[in-house]
Amino acid sequence: MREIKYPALYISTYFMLMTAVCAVLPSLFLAVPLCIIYGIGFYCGWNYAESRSAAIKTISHIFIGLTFFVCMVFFLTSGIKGGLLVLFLVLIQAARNFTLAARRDFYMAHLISLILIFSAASSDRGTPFLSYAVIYVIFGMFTLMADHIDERLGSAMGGDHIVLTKKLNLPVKGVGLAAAVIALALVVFLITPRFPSQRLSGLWEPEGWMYPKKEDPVKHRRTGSGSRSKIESNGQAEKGGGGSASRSAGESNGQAGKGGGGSTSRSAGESNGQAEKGGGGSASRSAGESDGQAGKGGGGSTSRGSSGDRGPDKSLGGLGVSNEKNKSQDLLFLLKSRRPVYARAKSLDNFDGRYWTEGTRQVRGLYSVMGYFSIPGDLEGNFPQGYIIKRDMPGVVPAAYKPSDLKFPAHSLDMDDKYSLILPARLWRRTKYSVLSRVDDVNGRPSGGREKLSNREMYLQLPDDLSTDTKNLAQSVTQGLSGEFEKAAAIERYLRENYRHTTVREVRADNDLKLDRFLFLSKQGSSEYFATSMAILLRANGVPSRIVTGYRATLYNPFTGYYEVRQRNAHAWVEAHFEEHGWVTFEPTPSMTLPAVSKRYTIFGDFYRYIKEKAVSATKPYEERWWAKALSVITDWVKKLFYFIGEVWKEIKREAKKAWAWFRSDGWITVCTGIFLVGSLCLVYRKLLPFLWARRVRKAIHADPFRAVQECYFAMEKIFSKKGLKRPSNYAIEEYGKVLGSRFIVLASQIDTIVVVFCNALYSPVPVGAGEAREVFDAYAQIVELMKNR
Amino acid sequence: MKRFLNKRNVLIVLALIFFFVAWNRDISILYSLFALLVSTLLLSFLLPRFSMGGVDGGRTLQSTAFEDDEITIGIDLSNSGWRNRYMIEVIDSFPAAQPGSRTPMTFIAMLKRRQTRRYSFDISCYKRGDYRIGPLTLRSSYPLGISSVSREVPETDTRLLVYPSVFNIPYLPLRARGHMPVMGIEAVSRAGGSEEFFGTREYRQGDGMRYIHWPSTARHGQYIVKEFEIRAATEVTVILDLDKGAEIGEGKHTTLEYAVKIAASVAKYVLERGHALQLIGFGERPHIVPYGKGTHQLARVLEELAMVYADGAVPYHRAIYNASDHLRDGGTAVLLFTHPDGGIEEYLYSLGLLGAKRMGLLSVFIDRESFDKKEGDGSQAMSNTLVREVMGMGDPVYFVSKGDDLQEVFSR
Repeated sequence: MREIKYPALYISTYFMLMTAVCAVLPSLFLAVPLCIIYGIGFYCGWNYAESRSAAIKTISHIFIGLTFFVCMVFFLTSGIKGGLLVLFLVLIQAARNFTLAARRDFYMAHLISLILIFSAASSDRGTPFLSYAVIYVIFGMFTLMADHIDERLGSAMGGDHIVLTKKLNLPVKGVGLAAAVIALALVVFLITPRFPSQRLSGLWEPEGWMYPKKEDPVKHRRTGSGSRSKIESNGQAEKGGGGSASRSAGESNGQAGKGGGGSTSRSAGESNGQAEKGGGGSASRSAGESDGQAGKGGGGSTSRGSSGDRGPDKSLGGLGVSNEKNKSQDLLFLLKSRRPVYARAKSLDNFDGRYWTEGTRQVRGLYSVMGYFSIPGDLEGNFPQGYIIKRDMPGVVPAAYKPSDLKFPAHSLDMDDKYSLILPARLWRRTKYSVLSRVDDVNGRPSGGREKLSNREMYLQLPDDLSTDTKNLAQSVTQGLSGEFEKAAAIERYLRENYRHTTVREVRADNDLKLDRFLFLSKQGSSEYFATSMAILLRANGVPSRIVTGYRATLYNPFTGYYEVRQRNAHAWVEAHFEEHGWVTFEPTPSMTLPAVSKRYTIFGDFYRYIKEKAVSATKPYEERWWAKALSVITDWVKKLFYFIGEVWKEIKREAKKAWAWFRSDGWITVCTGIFLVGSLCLVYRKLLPFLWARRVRKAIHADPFRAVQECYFAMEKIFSKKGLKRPSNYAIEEYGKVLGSRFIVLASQIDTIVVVFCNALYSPVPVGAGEAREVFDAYAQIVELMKNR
Repeated sequence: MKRFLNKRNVLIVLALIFFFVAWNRDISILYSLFALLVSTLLLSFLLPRFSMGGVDGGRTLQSTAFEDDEITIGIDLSNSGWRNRYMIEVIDSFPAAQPGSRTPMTFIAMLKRRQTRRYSFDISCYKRGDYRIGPLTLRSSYPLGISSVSREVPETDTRLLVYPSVFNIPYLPLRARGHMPVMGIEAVSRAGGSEEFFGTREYRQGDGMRYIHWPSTARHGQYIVKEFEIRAATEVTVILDLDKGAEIGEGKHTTLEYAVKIAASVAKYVLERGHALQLIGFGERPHIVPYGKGTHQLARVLEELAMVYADGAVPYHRAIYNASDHLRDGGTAVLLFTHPDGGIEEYLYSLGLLGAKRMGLLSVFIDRESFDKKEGDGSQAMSNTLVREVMGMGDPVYFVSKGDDLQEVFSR
């Protein structure tokens, strides 16, 4: 096995391995000692290559022995684990580095680093791994370059052979190359087709089993139950039953229905070091119920008293739809799915003119030993989603409507009659679960499939003090429309086209949701205003509707493959019920669009959106700075440019369509005639060209003999060039003439005449006369004549 | 297997694995790794194509050399482009080198724009022969060594004639037969002659009267004659066995190579001592260098010896027979037996022809078996008989086996 000769190869291999180690190890605390061992190992390896020291070899063997021993002890005591195997590989490689002298060891180093990178990739560590991967590939590239030089050094017999074996730096422009590779990689990454993955056809195994157990009544009755979920409809008519946490506490206390703000939930939230504001929808509501304010979610006396700022968000499940949290960039969860999703948390149906609350509802308990919950209703799911929770969230399970199967790391959870999944505690970070939902497409809008509405009146409830103006508006928007779906679409369109969405919250003295003010005065507001307005206008038109809160999972991170959902993505939208379609999603907020089914196979668009979103987020805090303003101006110009290009493109397409239509009808005759005429003209011109040229030269013979001679010579050169005898640049005219004369003996005298006269014309002090020019022209004519037949 | 296990294929396979795993598991990070690998591959294919622009080269090389000589090859590289070029490899085709080094590769790490660099490297001529060196090939695998682009430099074919190596022979018993008084290899002295004065001695019957040294005669009271030294020259003919079956062995350790080496050394010895030499061999074409003397003749003989191959169909006894036509009476014939096939009678007949021309024989028997021990075609028995017969004639005989120090053999 050939030895390594190029010192830079050691260095690049070292950094490549270190990058792989850092990528696979969870913390730098573990990586640093290994980096040191690796560094010592490589230094020893370099020395060993030169000295073949027995001591280094002994150290290497001792290290390998120790590694085997330690890893065997771990294997025997804790069993074989993936992490341990990785550690074993890392240590073995570190040991081998001590005598890294032959290419075999070098290849082993590469193999181990590759295994480490695979291991790191499989653990799905997101963006940090991506940076490691980029660095790994860059170092890998440097290693390839160094390996290339080392290979050449191994077989080269001279040149810079000696110089390079002493040099450490690469004799190549590595940084520029790395930049080129990354730029090209980005292009390849964006245009690589993304076919539907097999992984998403099934459900993930849940992770993060830390949720409190709830007694399984079925289990009490029957022993030896399976792992599938068992459904218990406890028939609790839970009025305003806010959070599951409080409810579970209530149930554990044997209190049916009205859970009065159990201490369990609060303590759980507090133990996490967070004020229970997010999940507080449930907590505060239950407190409210305990004060006897049944039916009013959010805004119990405690909340009101404490904050004095009872915003609309509190009535919307505490997701922070329109409060200050809405601006937060905090990452809440990652979503893996085939398309963007409106992940639903809660649905509210009762509006009192100020707040939305949950009306009377049926709550069912779901139980499963293995965490595999099957939602009753014989729904066949067609849309799998996987969720990775990154921050603690309110105790509801976000999922696309309508969930059919769920794999969640808990033994029990609740589901209300609106298919909201409620947890016995907050949704903890590091929870990983998957949901299979039934999502149908109704005119580009997600729907949960056909569904019978049992309590239609509940979804047609209107506040008592609904103004006449609002009712009139509802009628005027849908005037002339008969179908419910058309009415709903018209209302949605009306709101989207005539109102402005803003994330700035209006704070007023009474600080409640004044629908009339939004609809007729300010005409701008948060998504909650839009959703409320649409729901009310629908109800005023007799279309059952409800407001839904949740998260817009529309920002796809093309590098990690997940939709990123942040606090600012909390949102409210509307579901309307139709006999033929079931509950269909509507999006009245102007700046939002419903998640469409995508048929694209590349992520170019996602990448653009992601970068744009990131750029906007990054520059937002500095929007008053001069460069941000300049950037904004440039962006506007670019937008205008693209708009202009788009318009031009549209115009071209329109004109092309018209032209095609014209061509198909009778235009083809005109086009064919035109082509024929142009072709004929070209042909005639080509035929006439020699005559025109001859005429021009004949005139020049008397007017400008030099020009005539020159024209004839160059024309002659052109003729012979076509025959494969182009004048080489280092040939003088006379030499060229001789070559031609020797090749075309018949034409030798004519060629000679032209060449001699042309040379005289060029170099002789005596100007060329018309007679000579005439001779040249005649010689040229003879050449043309004779060459015709050759 | 090794042919397919190169960096390019490994990276392609790795990229495909990344892609399929990424597709199957929907891991976007693996897509990015795939993209990085693909871009690396693409650039490694594209960049070498750009890195050869404007680079030109040439080679300087001597036209003749001796076997085992180390010669210097000079390489000139120039970059007429506006950009620096990196890792330019220059590959020559040098069939005169030993196997494994016949495509010597050199490289320079950087060739700056508008720069010309000149460097040289040494290479050993392994075996005699007439070689066509080149063409010179420029190659670039910059930067990753995954894919390479090569281009031949036009008009870099040259001829290199490698003479067989010669060793010093201290003494060869070249003898003339017959009555020719001037024949013989040793310097003899006799009265008279036109060479250098040697001394004086007493008169012997038959000495010419004009060589009498009268002052000494008067002093001594008896006839004293002047003695001059004359150098006698002989004609030596080296007959080579170029029959197809005459060459056994591998590389430069073949019977023919040994024979050629001996022939060259004998030629050098003979011509340095002023004798005439001719070379005869019957290969695919007859290799005959007529009698001649001096350095020029040595060059001719070496040149011919550089180009002889065992490609003929004339057995050695026949070659001797044919050669006898070219021999003049009283010379010396150097016979190199490498493959004494045919019957003993044929050989004795041919040797008899040489005897009839009063040729002195100098026979070299090359032990065929030592070159190829597997062979056992019975020629050894015949060879032994022939050796006995030749030795019986009283002429000097040398024995050579594979690995022998030839100088030592001919010093005995």
